[in-house]
Amino acid sequence: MEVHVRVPASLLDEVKGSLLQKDIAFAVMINDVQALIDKSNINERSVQTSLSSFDYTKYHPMNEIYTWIDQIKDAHPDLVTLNYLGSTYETRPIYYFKIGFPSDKKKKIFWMDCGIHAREWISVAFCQWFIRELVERYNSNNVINEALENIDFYIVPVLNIDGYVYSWTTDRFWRKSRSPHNNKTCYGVDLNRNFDSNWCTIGASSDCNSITFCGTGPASEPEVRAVQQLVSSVKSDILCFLTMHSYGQLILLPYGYTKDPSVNHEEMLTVGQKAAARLAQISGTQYRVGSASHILYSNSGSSRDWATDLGFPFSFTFELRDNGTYGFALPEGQIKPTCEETTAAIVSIIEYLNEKHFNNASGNFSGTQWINLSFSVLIGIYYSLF
Amino acid sequence: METIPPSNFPATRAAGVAVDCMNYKMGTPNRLFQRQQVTSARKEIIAGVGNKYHLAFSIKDSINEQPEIPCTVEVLYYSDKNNTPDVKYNLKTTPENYTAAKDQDFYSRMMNNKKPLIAEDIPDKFGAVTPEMEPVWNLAIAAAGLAKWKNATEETLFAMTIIKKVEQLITSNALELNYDLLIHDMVSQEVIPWRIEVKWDPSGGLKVKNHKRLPKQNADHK
Ligand SMILES: [Zn+2]
Repeated sequence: MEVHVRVPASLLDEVKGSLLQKDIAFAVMINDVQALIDKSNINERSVQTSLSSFDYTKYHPMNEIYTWIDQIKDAHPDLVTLNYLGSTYETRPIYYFKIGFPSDKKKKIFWMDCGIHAREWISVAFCQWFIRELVERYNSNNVINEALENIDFYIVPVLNIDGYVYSWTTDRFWRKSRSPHNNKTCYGVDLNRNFDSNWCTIGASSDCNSITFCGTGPASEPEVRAVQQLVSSVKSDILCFLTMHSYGQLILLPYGYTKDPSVNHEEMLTVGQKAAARLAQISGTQYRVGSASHILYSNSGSSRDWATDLGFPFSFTFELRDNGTYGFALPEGQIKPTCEETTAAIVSIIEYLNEKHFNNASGNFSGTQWINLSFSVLIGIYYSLF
Repeated sequence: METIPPSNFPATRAAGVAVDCMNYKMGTPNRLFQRQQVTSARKEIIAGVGNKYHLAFSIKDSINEQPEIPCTVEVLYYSDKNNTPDVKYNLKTTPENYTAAKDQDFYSRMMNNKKPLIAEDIPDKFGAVTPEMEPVWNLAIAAAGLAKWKNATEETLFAMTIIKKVEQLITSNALELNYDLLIHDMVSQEVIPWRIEVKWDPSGGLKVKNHKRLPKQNADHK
């Protein structure tokens, strides 16, 4: 007869002793039941085994996103490299993907970051969705396929990882990072007020207790320094800089720190309006497009303004769904439609870049397709002659 | 009087205040209105009084399939910030009381609760609201309309974020709910705790007995 028993750790030695004394054979089946229970609780919402079963219509805690990052890297070595961007204040590693076809010629760069504000979970879900779009579906999308030839997508799936973790464990509506200030009496910097761009002049606070605390100096935060360093080092190649947020359904152009238009305002407005129109075609969601200081509010130290002044032709902030009904706690049921419509908007921007910079009219036949087509027509004619 | 861009924030924020007021007055546990894009906007600066916005847009019931209702509104923000904004609105058609049956069902269910309702975190952190809590949530949004309207300035844009806690009082002639809400101000980005005490019944409609902004909470200092 075999009997299974669970023994409290405090009684372990006593039980073992009396079993040995009475000459009863035994074996330890599970060393630490609590550890097993804890582990299964973490995975309670979704059991993540392989990339193919990853659920893109759910929000994921950071440990699952780290696993997913690894899986994406391993599954697409031909298309993707995983790179270290830097460390968060709490020493978590921040990664970014470079996604594109290998090429001998110098490629341009399309930047996208998600999760700079902790509570904006849909932003993180979107980056994951969009990365899958690039690595798994490029074959069915001409625009993306062409772009991957000429452009490397640099994508940071979660920038403010400390804040994101805190929004899962402690405060769902946390916005900032988690660096301590004033003898640990207050925590966190609004990373999108910390960039070195008219820092802390308007729409930001120098009080650490404020939710828009700008930090102790321009780029005082490790997360912001990491972005500034990488982006500055490749600045001559960046065509477009996107930063993904929620909520409000807006495509924001520079500037936040002044009401004056940026150098490339007109072209940015045209491209932004086209993106919003394409987005609305998917399920009717209405976006407003315009400069931040005119359609939302004035703010300083944002990554969008900072990127604009580095000279990139396009620099947009996306504020995803919704209009305030659910706000940051956008239901998981809306992840899919939000990501589909946002992908359509971004593909329209990429299409514009393809046409403008690489002289490829997307949707038309590419050169090789023309040759293939002419060749098959010739074969057709050849056979019909006989 | 000056024409202003209808999609810029002075116009959209004022339109939001008008919709808050409409939801307080016309919202029910089963009916809430949402604003469509502002189509025209003018700003009138009244010396010594304040700024008045004249706006046109449509509203749409966000819960029930109903036609859009075009409306014109006037929102006057007083220069003296102690005065709450004046809101006047004019609807092209007045909506019928098409949620009467559902409202009555909800009322009966709540008044027959064996134990008074106590609930927390609606929606939950994944945005989920159970079907039986939807009317409780909608009523909170309608009631929050009053607090949002009364506290609005040209430097605010409020949205009801979640019900932290709701408690039903034991009553016999109207449903009474005490809500602890979180309201997000988009302009300051703060999430503000707000206590709102509500009385509602299908014939008498919605009354807010008290509404009070509470001091900021900090999870680090709990
Ligand atoms: Zn944000």
